[in-house]
Amino acid sequence: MTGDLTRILTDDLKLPADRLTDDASLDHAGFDSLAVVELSVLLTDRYGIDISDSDIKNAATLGRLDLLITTKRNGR
Amino acid sequence: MTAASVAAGRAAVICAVGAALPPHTVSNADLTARLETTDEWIRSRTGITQRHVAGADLSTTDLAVRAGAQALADSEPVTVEALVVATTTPDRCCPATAPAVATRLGLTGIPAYDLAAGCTGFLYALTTAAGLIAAGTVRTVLVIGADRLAALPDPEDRTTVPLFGDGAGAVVLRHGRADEAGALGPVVLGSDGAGAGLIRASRPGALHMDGGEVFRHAVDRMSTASRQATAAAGWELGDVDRLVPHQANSRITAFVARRLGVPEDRQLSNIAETGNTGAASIPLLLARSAADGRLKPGHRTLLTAFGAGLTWGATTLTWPGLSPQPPTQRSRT
Repeated sequence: MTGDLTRILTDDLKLPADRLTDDASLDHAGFDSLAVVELSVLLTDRYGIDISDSDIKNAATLGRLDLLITTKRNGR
Repeated sequence: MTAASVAAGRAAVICAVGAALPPHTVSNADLTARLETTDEWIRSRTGITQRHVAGADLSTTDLAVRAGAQALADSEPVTVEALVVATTTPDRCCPATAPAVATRLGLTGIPAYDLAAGCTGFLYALTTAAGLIAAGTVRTVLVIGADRLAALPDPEDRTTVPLFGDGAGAVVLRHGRADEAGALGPVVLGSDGAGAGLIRASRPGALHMDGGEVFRHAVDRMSTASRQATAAAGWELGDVDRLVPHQANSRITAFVARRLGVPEDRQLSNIAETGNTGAASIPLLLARSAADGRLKPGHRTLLTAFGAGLTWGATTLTWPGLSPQPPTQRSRT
């Protein structure tokens, strides 16, 4: 996972750092429905990218989520 | 008096604040003893550590009377000519809360009415009160926000029970000049009934809330209304000394402040001690912050709120010199 996503998950979403590994599922990392929305809003505010709630929820692992975000940011 | 000076005297100026909280508090530890949740989860997700909860012997009317009495006691000598009570949780369907509150405050005879606009209720009430003053109908209005939201959630719902508390806050508005400290600036208000289902309760104990969608709408609406209200006042966002957002959830207010670029030391908050108190939240926060010195005379202050309806709003004022007291927590009036 990139440092950017790790920082967002720990500093902004207050998820437990010891659960944030590439192969962790979002459920395991502590994502609930509100965290999904918060992340979507935050990605728009901070990076100007639009990633929907369902795109976030459909990411199988944090590594996949990170890849999705990186791809969107590079594609701008 | 010339026409120009009459118009100049029809701005609505805050000249006193008052606050009332039930003496009984419920801590996160009290909740984790009966609900499947943790103190850490509640604090990190909501910013709340305790909430004040009224017992059966303390009604919305009682809370409103206490906050109103404190505002009147702290006010410069004025004759209150109207009362507006913002509440979503009146003690009964009929009659309204405000006439009873007026009579208990010794104000029998004045126009007194309730207004419901969810957690934006206080800003709606301020606006209609300012309208009464601007129209020349009255010169002084007591505006109270009072709610008992702790009774709204299903008692078994671990996601909503921790969010809510009870309380009341009040301000006295008098006629004055638009350029004096305490004068309300331009107000932005809005609503969207398409979102009515996102926060709804058919009766106490049956609150339904779509947390994710509420979060998204609250951040969007409060930040947009705040931009509009500051622009209408001729301010830059960088001019804002104190941001006073409705205390819904610390995560929502953090997002709003970040969007507006208001740094942390300019944000006021009391959600840790009170939870979400609905229409009471903004006047409670004003009273508390003025009493503890975080809100000082001369501070350019931005108020914003969002609530069930959906409703939202924002306005500005330069904080006046007042002498507010800590919230009254007497068990009897």
